[in-house]
Amino acid sequence: MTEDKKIIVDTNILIYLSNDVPKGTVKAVKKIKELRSGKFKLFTSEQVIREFIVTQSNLQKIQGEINFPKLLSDIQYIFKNFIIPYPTQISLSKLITYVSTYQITGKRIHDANIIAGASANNISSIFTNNFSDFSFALNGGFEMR
Amino acid sequence: MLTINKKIRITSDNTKVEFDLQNQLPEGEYEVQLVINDKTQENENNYNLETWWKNGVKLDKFYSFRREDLYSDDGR
Repeated sequence: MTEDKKIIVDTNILIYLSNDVPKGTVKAVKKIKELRSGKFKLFTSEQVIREFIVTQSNLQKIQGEINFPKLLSDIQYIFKNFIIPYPTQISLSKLITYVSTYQITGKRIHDANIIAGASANNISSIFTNNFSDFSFALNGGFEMR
Repeated sequence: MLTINKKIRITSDNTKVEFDLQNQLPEGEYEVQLVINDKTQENENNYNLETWWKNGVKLDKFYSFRREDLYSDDGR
């Protein structure tokens, strides 16, 4: 029996998928299609959804006004198309281990928390645009896509 | 806590629903809550991954959306 292929999709990718972003949207759509064809199970996380709402509402506000029905539709879409693990004692423990092991501080904690949540759910791949933010995780065998 | 999002189809045998657990859970007893939302046709938006962006915001240039920036200015 083959093990499920799992990947966590980062906040920036969800923003590219849900908005028209030059050099971002086309690549993200193409990659997601490849992952689905490759039978990857798509995960995101509570933190990613929270960050998505922050970013998406800010983008809408900058453009004029916040479209709440659209915002809620986006969130519903994420819930329907991605598996969402939630923070646990294990994920928090892993975060603390990363902080200690890799001496992560400041805002990098937010990045490390994504990896901690993924790792706690046996996910070892992340689809992100910002590889360098997760470079510490490469030491633990994490894969960037 | 584990959340499973899945579409189910109710057929003539409308008394059973089966789920595959995505995560490996340790053996033991768990409390399970099943919430069935409205029928999909009534609740579905028209998105798919190829067209989701079409209803979104059109940006004039590429942004990386790093957390470094996200947590610097949350728009308040």
